[in-house]
Amino acid sequence: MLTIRDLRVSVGPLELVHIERLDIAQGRRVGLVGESGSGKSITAMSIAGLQPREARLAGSVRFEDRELVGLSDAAMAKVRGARIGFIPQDPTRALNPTTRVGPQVAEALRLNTDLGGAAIRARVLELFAQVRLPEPEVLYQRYPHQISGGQQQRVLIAMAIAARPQLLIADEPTTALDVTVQNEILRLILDLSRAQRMALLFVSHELGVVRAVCDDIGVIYGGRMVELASAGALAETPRHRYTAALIGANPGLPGGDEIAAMTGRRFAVIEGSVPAAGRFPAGCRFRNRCRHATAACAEDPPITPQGGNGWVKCWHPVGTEAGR
Amino acid sequence: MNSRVLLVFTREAMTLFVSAVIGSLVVFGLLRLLGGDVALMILGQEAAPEAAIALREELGLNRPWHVQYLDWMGGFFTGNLGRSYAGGYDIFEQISDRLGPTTLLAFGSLIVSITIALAIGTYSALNARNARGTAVDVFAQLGIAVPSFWAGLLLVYLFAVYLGWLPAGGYVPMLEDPRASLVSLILPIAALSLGSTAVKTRFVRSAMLDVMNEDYIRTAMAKGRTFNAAVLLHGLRNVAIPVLTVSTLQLGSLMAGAIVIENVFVIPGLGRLLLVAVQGREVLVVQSLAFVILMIVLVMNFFMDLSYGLLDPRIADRKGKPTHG
Amino acid sequence: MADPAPLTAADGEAVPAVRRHLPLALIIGGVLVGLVVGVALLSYIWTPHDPARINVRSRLVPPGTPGFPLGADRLGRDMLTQIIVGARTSLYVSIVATLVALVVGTAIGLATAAASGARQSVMSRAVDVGVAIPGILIALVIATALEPGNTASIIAIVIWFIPIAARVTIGPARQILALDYVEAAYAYGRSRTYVLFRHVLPNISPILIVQASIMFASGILAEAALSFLGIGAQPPTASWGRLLKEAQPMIDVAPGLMVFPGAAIMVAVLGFNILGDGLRAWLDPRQLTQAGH
Repeated sequence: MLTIRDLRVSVGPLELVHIERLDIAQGRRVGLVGESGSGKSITAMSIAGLQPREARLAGSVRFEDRELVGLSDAAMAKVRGARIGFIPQDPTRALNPTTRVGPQVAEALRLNTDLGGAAIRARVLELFAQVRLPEPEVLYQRYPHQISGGQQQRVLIAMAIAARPQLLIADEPTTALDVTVQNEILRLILDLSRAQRMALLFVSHELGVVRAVCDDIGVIYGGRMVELASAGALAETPRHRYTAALIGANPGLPGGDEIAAMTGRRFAVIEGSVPAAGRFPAGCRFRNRCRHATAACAEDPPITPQGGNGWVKCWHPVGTEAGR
Repeated sequence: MNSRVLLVFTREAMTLFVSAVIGSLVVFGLLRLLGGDVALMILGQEAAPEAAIALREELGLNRPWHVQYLDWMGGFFTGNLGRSYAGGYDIFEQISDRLGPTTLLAFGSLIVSITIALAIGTYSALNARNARGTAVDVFAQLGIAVPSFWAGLLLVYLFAVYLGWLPAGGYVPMLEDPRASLVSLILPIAALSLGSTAVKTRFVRSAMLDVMNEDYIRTAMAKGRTFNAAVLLHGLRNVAIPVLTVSTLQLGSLMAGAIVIENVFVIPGLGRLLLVAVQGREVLVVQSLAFVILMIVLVMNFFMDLSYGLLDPRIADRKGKPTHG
Repeated sequence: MADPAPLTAADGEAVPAVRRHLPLALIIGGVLVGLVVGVALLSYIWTPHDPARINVRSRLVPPGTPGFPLGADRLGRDMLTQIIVGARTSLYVSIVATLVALVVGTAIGLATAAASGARQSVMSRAVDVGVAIPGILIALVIATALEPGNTASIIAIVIWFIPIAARVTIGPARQILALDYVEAAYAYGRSRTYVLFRHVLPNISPILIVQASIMFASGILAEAALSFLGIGAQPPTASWGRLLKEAQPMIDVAPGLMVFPGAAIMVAVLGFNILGDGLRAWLDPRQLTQAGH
């Protein structure tokens, strides 16, 4: 349903993101994990045409047999909301502070459905109930600052699913929320995507969260996707050296202990820090922090298919003899 | 909903009242502190002592200051502010007659400047970036630096003397001939709004550029709006709030400009009367006029603050006075 | 360095690098202000003609006439000379008035910022009302009580600007007073006056310098307006505003008369305003108050 090939997002001469391939089938839930600034949010926004204004897209994003890259803002606007829903990162800033929340959701229905007048209002209340908001009637009349962050996110989720889109993009939907609320919101997103058979692209910096929600997980480092695998496989048998290090840095995860044992370190730590955009080494972008890097890594690594529809982009994946 | 409106209204009404009292005391006090004897100011320092005594008696200047002050304030409600010494006219009547042109000029200019600033500022922000930003900055700097009365003279020369399209001055009452009245106001309003429009345009532009980066614009786009529609539908109202604040802060200088502009275009408003009264040292006329002009500013301030509170729902939920900016 | 990869922070956007360049505004503003000040100083030693000399033969000669590059007024006085001498009046009135208003206004602002709760809000309210009162209105009220002239202009502008200077001072002064080390100074038993002069004033001085430049500009505009209305500079004192007042009745006969005085006002105001912007960029008072030093 969604097929990405060589999507490049750049600002001026600087290439922020280059995603060689990413497919999302109908009803499938795919996660994108990476560190701050890895480009995962930009990728998610670019798919919906919500990238920063100065950013330029190249390559191909096919969605429901349509090429999205190169569409005008007006054409893209018809896809957004109707076919692709978007849940933002910080609900406390994502609602218009001067408008009541009910009408803000109603706007999505007015734009993307044939409903009118009273039917819209009824549907908004229905959506509020669906996202488990208490007292929909009261909430309809509230201004954003009068409700909690968790409730704001529920309103935004209601907005995103209002027109029953085929694809829901969630960009770190729980990062700005209290820990106690995070799980409820995750549960809600998961339930909704299951119930409505919506495909989900879920972006997060927390591997554990992504694993709990998604079928497949893509790992992004330095604007490049380095590995794609099913959620189980990624945690059990990570292939990319970065993924392995990432799991090592998350010792609570299943598989993390094994990695620690393999590398001989209890708490694996990724050496060095992420370079600034545009400062990555040529070839494999991770090689200056990778303990397994060899001269070969100066060349761009190939994409090697793995089990299922997974792949890895590494010269010396975990389990092969190379380096030290 | 209604309690919110009521709360904002009450708070702003209190502010208006307190400001009016302070303002009237300033006007009343300044004239007496700086000028000394009111009767001698009116008659001139060389006046015969008997004449001064008689005038003091006639105007009630012998009474204690607080009695004079309260009597003066009461005059605004009873319609009795006394008579002009030199002109012989009834001060209250004269003020009510001249209220129209001045408020028309000031309000007209306010509305014109806000409208133009929103239009140009939004346009230049949407069709960014640097080149138009520089143009707006230059326009703003020139707008501040060009005195309104000079702008008035230049406009008169161009449109009245050289092209002969518009009258060089004078004023036609709105009720008498609405069309001629509007025509007579074009140049004064243009001269008066130039400076404040320039400042507001720069302000709208930068506020708009800020709003464009807000997350809720992205949310509106995610709903299915184009970028431009999202900015216009969701950004404009949010931009209107800081623009109103700036407009409120400019009210005083707008009114000041109106006083000067009335004298450039010979508009029979409060400013024209005030200048004549100042030159004639008509202390009691100046005192009442100054207070009325001040009240116009404060009342406009009141309405601006009111709409500010209604535009931004967050204000009413806060305790105490809204913090501007 | 072996830092654990930071996996907790949200995906942030790239922070643009802070670039500090010499403000172009400082140079442009400095040149314009220098020009006006230079011309004013020049007027004390040399002018093209005697500013007060009335000459029937040069009555209303147009700009470009030999000896009268900017023309002459209805009494035959050279416009260029009038403008050069007018710079003196403009600068004298605006600088004296601004400095006095700044000193008094800052003192009021500091006192307000340091005052306690209820008293502070009353004082602050009074300052707000003062700012809201149209300056010209105050000036006209004052002019009723005083003889017209430069002194009346100065007194009027001083009273007009005091609330503005106070308003600008209050906010930053309160910020500084709330800083830990200032509170510590109180704890050491320093007097309020000591703290205000030793800690607060130096820290807000960049704001005051920028404000001074902008107030010079407003002062020039104010002087011109008062003279234009006839309650400022009186003949034979040359003043740009008065030149415009005299040019107004001649607008259809000699439009040139109103072009040059207005342009002179514009250049002077532009100069001080741009200089203020330049100083703001250079001294960066916002950053200074945030850091507290």
